[in-house]
Parts: sequence; C-alpha cells; structure tokens
Amino acid sequence: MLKRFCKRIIPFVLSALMIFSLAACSKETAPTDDKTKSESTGGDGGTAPTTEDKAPKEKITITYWHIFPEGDAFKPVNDKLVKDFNESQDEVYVEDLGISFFDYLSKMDTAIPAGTGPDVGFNGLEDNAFRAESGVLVNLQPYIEADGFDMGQFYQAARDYVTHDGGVYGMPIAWGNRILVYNKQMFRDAGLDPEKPPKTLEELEAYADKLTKIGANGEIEVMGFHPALGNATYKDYLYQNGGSFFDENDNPTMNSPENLKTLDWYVRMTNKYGAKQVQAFSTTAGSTGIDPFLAGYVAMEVNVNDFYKKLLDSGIEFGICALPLPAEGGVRGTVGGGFNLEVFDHGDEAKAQAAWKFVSYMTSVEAQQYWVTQNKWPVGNQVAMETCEELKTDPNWQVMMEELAFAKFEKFIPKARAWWGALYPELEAAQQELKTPQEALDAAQKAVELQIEDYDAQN
Amino acid sequence: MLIDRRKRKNSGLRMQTKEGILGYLFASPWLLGFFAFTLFPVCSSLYYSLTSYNTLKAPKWVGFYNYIFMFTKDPLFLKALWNTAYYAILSVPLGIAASVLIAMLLNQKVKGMRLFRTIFYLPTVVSSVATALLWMWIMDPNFGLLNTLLSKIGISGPGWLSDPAWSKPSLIIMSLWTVGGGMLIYLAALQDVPESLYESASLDGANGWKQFFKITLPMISPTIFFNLITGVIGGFQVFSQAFIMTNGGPAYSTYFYAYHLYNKAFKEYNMGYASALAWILLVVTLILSLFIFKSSKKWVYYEGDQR
Repeated sequence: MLKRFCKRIIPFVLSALMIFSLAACSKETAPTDDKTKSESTGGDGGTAPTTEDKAPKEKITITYWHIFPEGDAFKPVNDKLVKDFNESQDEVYVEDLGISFFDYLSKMDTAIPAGTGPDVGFNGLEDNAFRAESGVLVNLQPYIEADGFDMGQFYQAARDYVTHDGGVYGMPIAWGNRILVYNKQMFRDAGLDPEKPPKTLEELEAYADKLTKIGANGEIEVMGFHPALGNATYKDYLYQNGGSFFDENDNPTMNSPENLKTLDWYVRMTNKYGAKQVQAFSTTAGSTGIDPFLAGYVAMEVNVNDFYKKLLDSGIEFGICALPLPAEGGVRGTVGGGFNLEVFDHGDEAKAQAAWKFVSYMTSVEAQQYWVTQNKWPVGNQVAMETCEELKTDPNWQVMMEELAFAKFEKFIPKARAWWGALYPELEAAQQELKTPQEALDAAQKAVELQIEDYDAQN
Repeated sequence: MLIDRRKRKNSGLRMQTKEGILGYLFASPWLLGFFAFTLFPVCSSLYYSLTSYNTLKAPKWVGFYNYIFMFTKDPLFLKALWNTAYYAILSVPLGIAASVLIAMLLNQKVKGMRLFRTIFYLPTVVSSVATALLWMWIMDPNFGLLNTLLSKIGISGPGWLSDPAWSKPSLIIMSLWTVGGGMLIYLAALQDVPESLYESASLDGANGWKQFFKITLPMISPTIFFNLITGVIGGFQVFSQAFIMTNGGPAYSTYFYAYHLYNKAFKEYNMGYASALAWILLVVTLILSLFIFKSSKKWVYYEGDQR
C-alpha cells in the first residue's frame, strides 16, 4: 500500500516542485521593488547607505551603467556626480552599476539585443553611430530643443560623433586626442634643450637618433621614439600628412599616395635601429605591463591626454607638446575619441525624459569641470574646459586644450565597420618587413573593398 | 465504480512504463538544462548561420550566402584553417609523445615518485590565462628565460612570439607544458599492463625497446586513441593563447580558426557569419574524427578482441 502510494505521489511532488521552481525563476526577473533599488546605488563607501525615503515611489528610477567598478581610479568622481544629481532634485533617481571595461562591452552586447540594457550607458564615441543607426538609442534632439541646451558648448569633433541626420544620439562626456610626451632628463643627458621639444617630423627623427641608446650587444636599451609604442598608431600620423582612409563618398583610400608616404615613414621610424632589435625591444617594453615611457624605455612617445594623471604621479620630469608635423603640408590635429552618455530606447517616454535630465546634468559645465579637475581627463564640454580656473594656470593643460580644438572626427562607415581590423595586420606585416608598404596597403585596400562588397550583398 | 477505474488505470500503465517516467523525471533537471542551454543554442546557431545578424537589428535571411562567402571570398578562412591545422597536427602528436614519455618515466619504482607525479601534473591545474602570461615572460626575446638559457650555450634565440616564423612553434612548445593531463591517463593505462607480459618477453630475450613497441604501445593504444580524438578536437578549438598572447599576430601567423570566429562575432558583430564558421568547424572536426575512428581498426589493440 505504502509502496504504491509512494510511487504515485513522488512523481507528482517532483513535477509540482519543478513547476514551482520555474515559476519562481520567472518571478525574480520581474521589476524590482524599492528595497532592492536603494541597495545597489551609490556605492561610495564613505557615506551612510541611502534609505528608502530618498527614493520615494513617485520618483522615476533609471539605471546607469558605466565602466568604473569598485577600486577604479575614476570611480569616486563618477559616484559623487551621481550622488549630487540624486540629491539635487526629487523627480529622478539614478541607480548606477560599475562594470570593468572589458566585461562592460560583453554585458552591453548581450543586454542591448535582449532588451535588458540600462536606461543610460557610458559608451564609446566612435561606435555611437552603429547604435544610433540600429535604432536602439533615443534621439535627444527634441529634449535639447525643449530645454534650450546649447550643443555648441561641446567640441566640434565630439559633437560630430553623436550627430547623425540632424539627430543627437549621445552627450559627449570624457574624451581626448593625442599629445607627445618627452622625458626632460633624457633630453638633458643627450645634450638637447628640454624646453624645445621637436616641432617637425624631421626634428623628431634627429632628436630620436640622439636619444636612442644601444647596448654592447647591439640590443636597444632606450629608444628615442617608436611610433607605435605608447598609445598611438599609424592613423595618428596619417591625418597629419593629409591622408584619410575613406573619401567623401565613403570609398576606401587605403593605398593613396599620402597613406603610402605615411606608412613609409612609419615603417622607417619603427625599424631605424634594426627590425629584429626593435621587435625584441618592443616585446620587452610591452611585457612589463607598464607604459614604456613611464618604465624609461622610450624618451618620447605619443599618448592620449588622460595619460596626464599617470605622468603627474610618476615623478618623471616630463614635458608635453603637440605632435610634430611634416615640415611641408602638415595638417594639425589628431583623431579624437572617448565616451558619451547614451539614452537607450525602451519605449518609455517618462524614463527617456528622466534620463535626459541626468545626462544633461552630467555634461553640464559644472559637472564637467569637476570631472576634468579631479580625473585630469578632458571632457567634451569645451566651455567647461576653457572657463576652468585650474586649467588656466597649468601650461600642460594649455597645450592639451589647444590640441583638442584641432581634434579630428573619424566618420563611421557602416559598410566597412571592421576596416581597421583589416588594415592593422597589414601595418604589422609592413613593420615586420614581411611586405613592402605598397604591398601591405594594396592588400588592405582589397580587404576593405571586400568588406563593402560583403555588406552590399547582405543588405 | 471508482475502484474499478483505478484498477484499470493501474493495469494500463505497466511497471516498466512507470519506472521509465520516473527515470525521466529524475533526469529532468539535466534534460531541461540540455534543451535550454545546449540544444536550443545549437539549433539557433544553425538558423543564424543562414542570416545576416548584427545583434541589434533583427536577423535577415540570406540563405547560404555566408557559406558561399566563406569558401569563395574570405581570404582569412583558409589562412585561419591552415594555421589551426598546423597547430593541431604538430601539437597533438608531440603532446602524445611527450605525455607517454613522461608517464613511462613516472611509472618507475623510485622513491618520491608521488611527488614527481604531482609536480608534472601541476601545470595542468593552472588556468590558461596565467599560463599564457607566464610563457610571455619565458619567451621574452631580451630577458626571457628561454633566450637567456640559449645564450648561455652560445645560441642567439629568435623573437619567439614576436617573430612570424616562430610564433606558431612557440605556441606548440608552450602547449607541451600542459601534457600532465594526458600523462595521468597514460599512467593509469601503463599500470594496467600485466607484469607477466614483460616477464615472459624478457625471458624470451626481448630488450627494452622491443618490449616498449611490442607490449607497452599496443596495450596502451586505446588510451592513445582516446587522447588523439580529444586532442584533435581541442586542438582545432585553440583560442586563448592567440587571444591573450599574440592577438592572432604577428601578421596573421597565429590567427586561428576560433580566433577568426571570435573576431567576426564580437569585433565585427557578424553573428551570422560566425555561426556559419562554427558549423564548418564542426564538420571539419567530424570528418577528422571519423577518419581517426576508421583508421583505429588498424592500430588500436583491444584486449580480448577477436581479429
């Protein structure tokens, strides 16, 4: 009797349990209540945990994902701005989540298609166009007009990244372009004037020769200048030579004469002191995980301006100057890049409005000045930069701000999104002297043309 | 009436059927997981492979376009396949040889053998990322351990990972570091070889080499077969070394198939094409596995087999 009972009852209980557990699973994904909301916010350990009365029910809660997890150097500033915003008004409550940069991309990549992404994201300027074009972002133009927000206060190039077909799909927050940093002590040791950094590419090369130190066995100990060490690539030098990757009609121009001239120079500068030696040298310089300039491997290097904070902390006697230009026909300004705050379209007008409130606060002059002075990381708001007292008194900031005004904008090419991925290995092949610059660029041109052909065939 | 129906119901479901249902119920947690997290993704990847899909817009049906593009236009497809085959064809046999050799050495009756076995197995426990970072240091051209040792005997070592001619061999050498896993399996197999076979062979005057080739090797051939199959499958999926250490470079020399797939999926957001690549990889490994299975009749010896 008992046996039979067990036989009948156990399967029933098991299946009931399963159904319940499934139901419980789906329940958990339902919108969270106020209690969990206030738990995950803020994150700056110093202050007491925010209580529920700070997030009353009539407030609209929006989520904000960014790239500053616990322990990140830029986290305190971001936290403070979010906290200030939450306290400054009582209509919108921002719940933020910091995710480490690499996880952030994969999390975004899966969350956006699944529709579980945040209301506001701290995303790359360079690929804003991709998301805007795909229709996942809110066009902020109506809000900008309604509020009378002046987009003219942003740097032109930063604005260009987020403007598509007259719509605005993001607010530039932190960005930058490239500068040349040099080691003043090494300049002195080589008999160069530390107050006179190179102005032309020809000078750069002459200086590099003087600054380079070769060891007894022919190995390179210090390299005066390596065009790809630091935070620079071929593209930074290409624009200075008046070259471009695409023409006005978005046709690739990978192997144009300007591009060839740049790559010739790039390869020559790389391998000046022996291709094998430089290969070994750059592997060594890269393997320490420390920036080659900070580690004393190079005397001059091209880097981004948010490198400034590390320079200040390094104790190295450094100088900052604009990138040297070709003596003839040089075009000033390097490519700008960075981040913007994007509002994701979840079909909820009230949330979009609330998100606009937040992003316009974060990119306002006041918030941006706090950002740049604390983080030493340039912001998109040009007015904020130029009216900031602290920056006015710092000659290094003056150099960087002058360069930022010349920053270039790199157009997004939907048909050849991965053009850089196709070009980069060819540049490497040229640097390794496996291909001549001409062969490498011809191969890149072909590869990009193939991407476009592929895109056209699929769309 | 009620009792009657019950009776009929009871007799309707036979004991075997009931036990079957119960069995499936107990297996259901795994089955659910399998359907939701394995079978469903596998089937949807087959569907995506026939579409153009960038994750943000809805997938667009393109038929066999991705497959046609792969075989007729994509220059990196063949390159990646060749790099991967090069890696697998060299690293798998070398790995087997090395692990059999180490297993033989560790099968001796010497004091402290347990310690040695642990030491040789240890690298397998280390995560592949940590291993990769460690080997980047070992293979550093200037101050790396490898080149320092080579320079002591008067050889100026190559640039290893930074040299396109040496990057693939470097990764193969590195793969030998984790032969401990295979070694453990061979060790178990070696201990299963009956001592009596060696005894009678030595009575018959067979030397060590003969014993190895005529007794040991045939007796552990099923284990070799197993390691060969798993090794080839694993070898064709090589990814983390290229991802962490070389980024597929220099100049595409370590651009492996799985890395190509990753690039297409997560760099270019071309999920449709990446799915197609995954299916072709499955076909390639399937063909190779079948080939190895067929050939196994010729060289794998099963005890008690009638042939």
